[in-house]
Amino acid sequence: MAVSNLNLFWSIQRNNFKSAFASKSDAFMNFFLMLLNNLLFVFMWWALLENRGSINGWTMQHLYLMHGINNFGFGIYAVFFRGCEAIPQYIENGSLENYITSPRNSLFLVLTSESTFANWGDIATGIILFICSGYYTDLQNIFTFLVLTMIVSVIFVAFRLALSTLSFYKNDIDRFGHNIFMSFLIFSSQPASVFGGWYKVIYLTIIPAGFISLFPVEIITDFKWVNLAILLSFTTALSSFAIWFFYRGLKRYSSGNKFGVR
Amino acid sequence: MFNTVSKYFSFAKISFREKSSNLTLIMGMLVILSLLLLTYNQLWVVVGKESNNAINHSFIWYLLLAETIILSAPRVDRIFDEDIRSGNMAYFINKPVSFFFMRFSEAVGEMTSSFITFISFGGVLTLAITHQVPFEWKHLPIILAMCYFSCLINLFLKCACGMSAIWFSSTRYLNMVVDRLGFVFGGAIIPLSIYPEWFVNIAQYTPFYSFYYLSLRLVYEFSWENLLQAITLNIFWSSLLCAFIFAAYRKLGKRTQIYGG
Repeated sequence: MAVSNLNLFWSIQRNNFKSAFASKSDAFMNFFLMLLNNLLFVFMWWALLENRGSINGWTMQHLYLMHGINNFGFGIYAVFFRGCEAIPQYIENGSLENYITSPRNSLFLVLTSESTFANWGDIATGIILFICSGYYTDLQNIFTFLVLTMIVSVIFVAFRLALSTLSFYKNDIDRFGHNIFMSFLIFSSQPASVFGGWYKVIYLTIIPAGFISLFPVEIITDFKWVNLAILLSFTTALSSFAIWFFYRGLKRYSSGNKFGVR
Repeated sequence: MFNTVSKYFSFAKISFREKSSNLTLIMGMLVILSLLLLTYNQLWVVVGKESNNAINHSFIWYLLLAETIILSAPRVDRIFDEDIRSGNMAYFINKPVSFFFMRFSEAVGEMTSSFITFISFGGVLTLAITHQVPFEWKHLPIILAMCYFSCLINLFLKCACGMSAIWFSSTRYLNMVVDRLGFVFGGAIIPLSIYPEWFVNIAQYTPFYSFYYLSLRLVYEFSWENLLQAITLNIFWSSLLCAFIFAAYRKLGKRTQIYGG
């Protein structure tokens, strides 16, 4: 079953690549625009830290690492599993049937149904920023970085899936879900050291961006098993909840009468 | 003339009402605005403490106006992009309205609704955070007028991005980069006074410097000279953007082909 899904996954990705490369110049231009977009954002933080030195103990090295992990993780989410963003649209226009009537795992098919080639620019940004952070010289750090980006991408997918699933329960809520996800991205792109007191509570609970920006950086700069355990527990809990919430919502889905071939 | 103006005013009015009635959307946008204000307030508090410099309150007011410009802008670039690419614009060519002015009026209506919401809600929240204002109350109408003018220039920029669909296959990423250039060259999130001097010297030659930094600086550094400089440069950049939009629109009109079906 797992091997079969993996084969399907690669075949979907191959097709996504082929369609993105239907116009090579556009694909590369979008890739570079995305890269430029990310690097401009990091430049903004560089200017601030060049002026102030550090923010509550966080230096530019920490920020390179944070944005590196963040961008790489987001890139994996957007390139391979962006389908979760389209769930409200599938529910609205009845195309969800294409996925749930297939003998394959419906959630897997929905998640991999959308991909954006330009987000390879995020993955490239992640690699560049990891190199800028200076932690790339140690093989153990490279391995930890890769593992952390996988965990972060799972958090992105699970959080977005949970928000998109709200559309099973209430009409016209997709824009709200989108805005909450944007807030999550905004929170996760700030230096974790600025959050204290009630901000930290929000940062780790209601909008749990701390698990994307705080824990991964601490794990690389000052490894503690307890931090890794917290991060893994949270990721497992969030993804289990998102999957349960999706299937519970799916039971409420009423079939439309739209015919289509896939 | 009056009929033409009232026709487009009706488009703006309808989209203003539509936007104002979408409570879920407004709530979502206000959540984002609140988070941004609270997060950056926290950042400036920390930075201010470390450098013993009370920069917090003026920067938060500056940020409120900058975020109002960014968040008020409707996705008119995507609308133009889709209309051009899908051929939807052909439906409007034989109507007694200009396709461009119709879409632009709708965007202005939507933008005005968001502008009022963000300024009123954000103003109360910012006042609650900072407990003080960095400007004199008598200057407030001028500051708000300049902020609205900046919103309009940002809208011109988005229209220009959308019109670029005649050259690019997707304008989505182009628009994203243009927005990001505004963050950096306009000092929309971190004011330009914090950037290195060599960078500010470059930024001065971009439209972002004028419609973000010069206009928004009035909130904490109001003077008639600063106001005149902001108005002059904003008029210059908006004229250039309008010229580009109309040239692109004319080109688009010539390129449009309508097939039966």
